[in-house]
Amino acid sequence: MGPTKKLANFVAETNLEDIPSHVVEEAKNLILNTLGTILAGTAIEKTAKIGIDLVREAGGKPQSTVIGGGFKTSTIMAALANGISAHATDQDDTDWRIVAHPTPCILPAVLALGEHRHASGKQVLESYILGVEAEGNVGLGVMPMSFLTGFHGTGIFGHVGATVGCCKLLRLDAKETETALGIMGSLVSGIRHNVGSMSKPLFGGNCAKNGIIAATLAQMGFTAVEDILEGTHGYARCFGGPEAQPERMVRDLGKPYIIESPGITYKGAPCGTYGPVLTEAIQDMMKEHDFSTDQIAAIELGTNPAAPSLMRYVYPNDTLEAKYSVPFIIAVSLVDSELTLRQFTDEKIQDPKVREVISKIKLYNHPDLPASPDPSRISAAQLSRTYITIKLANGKEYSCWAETARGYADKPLTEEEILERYRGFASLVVAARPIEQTIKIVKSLDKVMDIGKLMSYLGGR
Amino acid sequence: MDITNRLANYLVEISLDRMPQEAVSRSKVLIRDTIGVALAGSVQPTSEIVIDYVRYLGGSPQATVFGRSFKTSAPNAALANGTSAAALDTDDNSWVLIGHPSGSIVPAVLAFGEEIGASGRDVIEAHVLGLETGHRLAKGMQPAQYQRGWHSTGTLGVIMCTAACAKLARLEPQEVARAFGIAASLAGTIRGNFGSMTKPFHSGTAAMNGIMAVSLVKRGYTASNTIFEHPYGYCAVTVGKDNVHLKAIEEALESGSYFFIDPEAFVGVKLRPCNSAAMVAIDNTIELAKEHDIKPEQVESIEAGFTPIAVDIADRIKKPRTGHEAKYSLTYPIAISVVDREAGIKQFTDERVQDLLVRDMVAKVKTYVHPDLTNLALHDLAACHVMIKLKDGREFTKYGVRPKAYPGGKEATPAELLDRYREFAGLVLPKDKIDRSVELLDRLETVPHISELIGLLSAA
Repeated sequence: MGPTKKLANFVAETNLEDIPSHVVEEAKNLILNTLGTILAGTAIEKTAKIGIDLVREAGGKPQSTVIGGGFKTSTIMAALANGISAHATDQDDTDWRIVAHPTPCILPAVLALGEHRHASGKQVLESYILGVEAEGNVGLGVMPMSFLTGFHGTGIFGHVGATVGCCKLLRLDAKETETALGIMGSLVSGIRHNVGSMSKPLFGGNCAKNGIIAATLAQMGFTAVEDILEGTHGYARCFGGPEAQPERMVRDLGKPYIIESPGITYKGAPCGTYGPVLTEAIQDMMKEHDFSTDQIAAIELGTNPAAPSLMRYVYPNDTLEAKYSVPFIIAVSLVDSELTLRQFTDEKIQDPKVREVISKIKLYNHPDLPASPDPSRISAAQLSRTYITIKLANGKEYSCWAETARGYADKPLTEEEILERYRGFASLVVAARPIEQTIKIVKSLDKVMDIGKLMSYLGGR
Repeated sequence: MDITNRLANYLVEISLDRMPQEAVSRSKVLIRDTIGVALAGSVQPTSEIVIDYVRYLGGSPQATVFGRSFKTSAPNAALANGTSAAALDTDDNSWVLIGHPSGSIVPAVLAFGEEIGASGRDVIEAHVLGLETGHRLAKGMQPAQYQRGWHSTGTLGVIMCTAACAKLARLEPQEVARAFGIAASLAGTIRGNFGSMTKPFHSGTAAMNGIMAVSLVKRGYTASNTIFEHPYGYCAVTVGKDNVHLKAIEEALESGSYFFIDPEAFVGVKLRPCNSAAMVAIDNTIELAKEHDIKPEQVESIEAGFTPIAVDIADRIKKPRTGHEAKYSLTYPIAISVVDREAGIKQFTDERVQDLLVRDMVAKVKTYVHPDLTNLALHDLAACHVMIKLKDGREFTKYGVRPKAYPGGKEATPAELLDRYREFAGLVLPKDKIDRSVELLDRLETVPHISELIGLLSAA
């Protein structure tokens, strides 16, 4: 049996009852977290506002809610807008082994389609979990080649997650799921060079929209090849080149679920992943050795050779570039003693104090760090691993290795922290009472009869 | 090298009055031909599904769905019409692009043009610049992009549609550059889906995404403005860093040529609704069958020698089971050319493919890479050497390089092309509408509102 067929069978045959309950509970937290990032995106990011304006003008039958937009439109257009919003602040979750943000691609697709089809909460949960599972496993078959070539995991793997999620939601059989994956193969896209612009969040919306299109067309009888993952000119070859391993894409499905191990990480700050890792480590050093920002003469960051391509801006020109500028992120967090949405403003970018600290920061390739990540051992720690050296004006010098941040598998957020984070994001759009209602619904999602109930609280405006 | 920027400036600077007359008249031929194939394609099962889906999704009535009686949003109409244009695989193509350009550009330009109130002149201008953008990039990227597994109809198509719509929208150079940035993040269509409904869908998604990219930029959406030259940009990512020839693109940009009318890189009207690699084989086989009055039952075997790239493109499916698969084989087009002495849209139906006598003939066709054809230029990829052996021991052979209606091949007369349009449009439209559309298409550059033409393409 080929990988495409194996994946399709797994998706068609697995139901919520087959998934361990702690995986389901964690999935609820991840869903809640991304609902929060969607709402926050619509409130503060111009990116999200343009997405919503575009779909409002394009119009469509009122099938699904545009979160924070105050109207409904066709499933695909709602998914497009909600996916853009989900990824707009770049504070959504990460599957580290494939360097991708899964939930902003999968959840908007599953919710938009689910709302229109009156899916139950149970259907949404199982579709979402299987989407994450498929995405994370398929990605392993082409990583790190796809990453090094310049494809962005969020785009190219998010299509798999969104499509699988929608197939499950529509209860497609294995054959139809194969076809949907085939159609998806012709919609997949995403290149890294757009990081630092609004077109990075576009990955979320585009994946979500295309996942719905692929699954729906398959349900309507549209045809595609049945071996898209492994076929001669198929997914593995296009994105992974000759070194791709299609068999790897299905080896570990559900064994264990990715959500359980290695886990999907939460991101503590609205910026590139290095941001929270490095700033938390620096804050810890400052506490331990009791020094302040003013005393710092120089900061040296020993990174792996891939890091500069991930975080390439030094003096950012706008707030989106700022999210992918290591020097800016560190500098602004040192000046402000926090790293939240408040730090990513034009004012902060121009702040002379911040620019002065930036001038003290230097990046170099650390000799102990590998040139390219080992595909079999890609982890958050491995990719972000950085050697930090801080030199003070008084001649003292401190160093440490930074690897992970709060919200990663080794430093999990508490239940209450997750809820607080959600409340903080949601309160930008939704009133206090409905926020608590949405928490209640998501926490008991497996018992919700119609997902429309949840969506009715999220329209905003 | 700032190719993105230069390409953006080129698009902004060039206008119709600076284009040679030959480019304008050729563009008009291709636009009419594409509308014809899209009308005929709109009643194919592939398009029926996509059109039903688009109708179901709904949208603001911005643009017409060809061959139906409703309007929807411009992106949705482009998705439907682009799929229709490619559904029969008889839309024009270019061997420099290794893809079908007008099948996505024309639906994109007409849908977006209808939304924003463009003139016929604007439409021609946008179409030509869409084609030229594709050919300029292809100079530095092909055949590597295609060989990597990308279906350039979609991957270059979305860039061409973006260029064309950017011209229609009168974007500034910086905006054009960003529109390319967005388009690059939407580009992706893979050859693995050849032989299924999803292949024609690539033209639809290219058209839809081109409109989306430009519509987003118009609203202030941002993207990289160096997307073509960057190490993680469009060119490097789709063909590999070492295979991009930025210099060749740069030279093409400076040349001032109109590549789509260049005899070596011509966009050809595609008379055969199947993969383009099979077209010379079809011409050769039909001619042999007619010259020697060969009856199917006389045939012992057929040997057809191709170029390596033709085999790479189309020799995967040896015994097709459906009309779709038949289009992407080399064996079937040859077999049906013997049996029917014709290879038009009536020959690529499931019914014809499943005919037992036709299947017998397919089994007699042997394809191989011909040793003399391994070093030909890309635009000669369909070169083919056909030998038909009869049971009585006679052997007939024919060699050809370029297909009919392509430069270097037999000419298709204006009357033949007009007949083709009328035949295709006649599958959907009444005669009076066809007559009127022919008249408008003939003087397209003087039509003040493109909606006047597009209104005729609706079944309402």
